[in-house]
Amino acid sequence: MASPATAIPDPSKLTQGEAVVELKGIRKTYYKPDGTVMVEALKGVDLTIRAGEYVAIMGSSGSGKSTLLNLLGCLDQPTEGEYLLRGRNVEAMDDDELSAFRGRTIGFVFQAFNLIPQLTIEDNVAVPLFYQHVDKKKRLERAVGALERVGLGDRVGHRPSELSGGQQQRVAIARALVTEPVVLMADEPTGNLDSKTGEAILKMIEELHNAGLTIIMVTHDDAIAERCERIVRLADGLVDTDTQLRKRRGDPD
Amino acid sequence: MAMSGLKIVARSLRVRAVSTLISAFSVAVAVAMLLTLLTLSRANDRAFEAGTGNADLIVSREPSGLVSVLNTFFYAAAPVDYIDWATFERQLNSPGPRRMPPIALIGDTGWYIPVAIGDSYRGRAVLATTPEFFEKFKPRADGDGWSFAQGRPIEGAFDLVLGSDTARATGLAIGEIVHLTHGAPGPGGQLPEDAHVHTDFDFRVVGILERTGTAHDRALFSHIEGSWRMHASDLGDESARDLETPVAPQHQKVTAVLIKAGGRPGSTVTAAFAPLQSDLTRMTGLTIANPATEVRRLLRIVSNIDQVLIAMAVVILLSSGVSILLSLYNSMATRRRQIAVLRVLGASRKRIFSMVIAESAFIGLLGGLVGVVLAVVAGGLVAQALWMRVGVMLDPSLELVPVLWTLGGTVVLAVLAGLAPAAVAYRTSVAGNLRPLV
Ligand SMILES: Nc1ncnc2c1ncn2[C@@H]1O[C@H](COP(=O)(O)OP(=O)(O)OP(=O)(O)O)[C@@H](O)[C@H]1O
Ligand SMILES: [Mg+2]
Repeated sequence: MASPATAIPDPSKLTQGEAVVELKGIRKTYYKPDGTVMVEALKGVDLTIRAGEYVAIMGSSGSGKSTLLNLLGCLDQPTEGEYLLRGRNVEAMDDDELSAFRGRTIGFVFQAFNLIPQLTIEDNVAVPLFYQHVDKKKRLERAVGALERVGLGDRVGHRPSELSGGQQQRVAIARALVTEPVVLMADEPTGNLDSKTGEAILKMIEELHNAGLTIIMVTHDDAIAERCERIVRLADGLVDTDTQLRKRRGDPD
Repeated sequence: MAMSGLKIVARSLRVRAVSTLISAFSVAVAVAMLLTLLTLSRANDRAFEAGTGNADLIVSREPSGLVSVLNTFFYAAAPVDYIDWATFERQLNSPGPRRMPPIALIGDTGWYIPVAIGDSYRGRAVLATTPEFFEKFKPRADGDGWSFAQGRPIEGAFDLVLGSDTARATGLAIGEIVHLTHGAPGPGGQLPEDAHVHTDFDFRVVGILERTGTAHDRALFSHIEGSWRMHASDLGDESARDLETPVAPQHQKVTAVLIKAGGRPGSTVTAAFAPLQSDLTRMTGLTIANPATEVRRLLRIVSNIDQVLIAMAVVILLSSGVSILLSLYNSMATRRRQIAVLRVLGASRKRIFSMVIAESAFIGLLGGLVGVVLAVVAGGLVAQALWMRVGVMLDPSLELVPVLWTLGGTVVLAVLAGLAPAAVAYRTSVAGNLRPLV
């Protein structure tokens, strides 16, 4: 059995101000097949994001935003440095453990919605629960519940291709939420949407933040970033500026 | 695997329906071939082994023992040479080198029965014999004696008994009068050029046999005395028409004699068998054979061919495994994104690996099951064709054990074929495959 120190934290026992992600000296280098350095995408990033924060990650194209978010999401391994996700060293976990932990802790939303075209939207939303061994009936209940939360309760039974881009992104958000994660990571979630639809998605994300979810969002758009509480600006693989725009929700005055 | 996992597998197989079906079909063809060959070669062996009945020896003037067995028990062709029955019986009763006539080795428990093949009815061979044939000879080595669906065995000189298939095919009923044709049909049912119908001799159907599963089902059986009288009269001996006069010895011709060794009371059958065979072999001009040995000799030749065919089927099965491998392997390039998405949603590498293996196993199982169905159909058709053309009755029904082995083997093969694509899926990088489509 896992010792208390390595036990998977219970998301419901998240305390305000707990460090959700903690990066220490993270580097990510891409190598050419011949072993020579191709790109140093991250050159030593230190970053801590606490429970309940609403953080925008910005920077020019190629500055390493997506690379950073992939590392935060445990979708990739750093070349160097330490990453603690809810206090647990990610590197120490094997693939099974990490998959389970990641699945319970993080919800993802991408610019490309990344739905599975062969499955109905409720089956799409139910997939993460399948990997968490939730039984079939519960799975479908919760999937439909999550779709209702994003206003798509009436589209149950449809395939992703039968939905508009904005609706597809809402399905993706429902899929990210269905596991009741601690943190939502979004890589340019409105990048593929027109401004009106993008605004609706953003509203939805803000509501989730108000309900207590930690949000980390990569964006190019200054107007969107201004609405966050904190902006981390990357330049050339390093944290350039880290600005607290307004006090964190729930922090004492 | 729970439902959603199966759903993902099933849906992604459906997306690639054409290549899935092609792979499954190539598996099905190989499985069908393998099962058909296994079943038929086994059924074939059994049919041939059982088909010579319970005779220990067959005596003839055929060029070889195998030919006499094929002609007499399987009606392959009409024998060309005759044994003079009177001479044979005399030799059987005269003392040989053992100072004891060979008949003594047949004894009370053994028997010898003459048969003559040479006439036919509507393309079906007529075997002329004595009533003892139905009493003592058993058509199947592994079965009971004859049993009659209707009527009785032959008694009178012009009685006729029908094999079950002959009765079905000709529609003849008990009491009907039949005229036999001179000359036995070849394997394709064609008659020799000197064939003519013996219209002046009425044979009456007195019995219809139950099915035995041997070539005898396709024959007719007449009394040998009637056959002798008919041919004697053909040759101008009008006295042969008089049933009161015995048939002249020169007209008593038989094409083979079936013998069961009995021996003196107390001695075993096998003890009598070898000396009897050697005594008979001394009778000049006769071909002596043990039907079981001849059939085994034939099957040895045939089984070499079987093994080649089965090896070919196995090779085809292996190549169908390669086709599964290629189809899945090619699909990996287009599915990297889907795999990355599943990983993001919480699937571990192992789950992804087993998902691909499950797809592969499913293709194998689908192909295997379709193959079993094809094998049932093909086995039936082949058995039908063999029965129509060669008169060998095969039981084409599949046995459970080889079917299960083949299905199990196919799934294992499919799983092995899935290993390489699954390994590719296992190694698929998540971050690298999630970049936005541009
Ligand atoms: N798989 C990879 N192999 C090699 N180089 C990579 C890989 N992924 C990213 N890079 C490089 O790393 C650097 C950072 O890329 P990244 O995708 O993180 O940038 P970004 O800030 O997200 O840019 P954008 O705003 O255009 O999305 C770039 O120079 C990119 O070319
Ligand atoms: Mg990016």
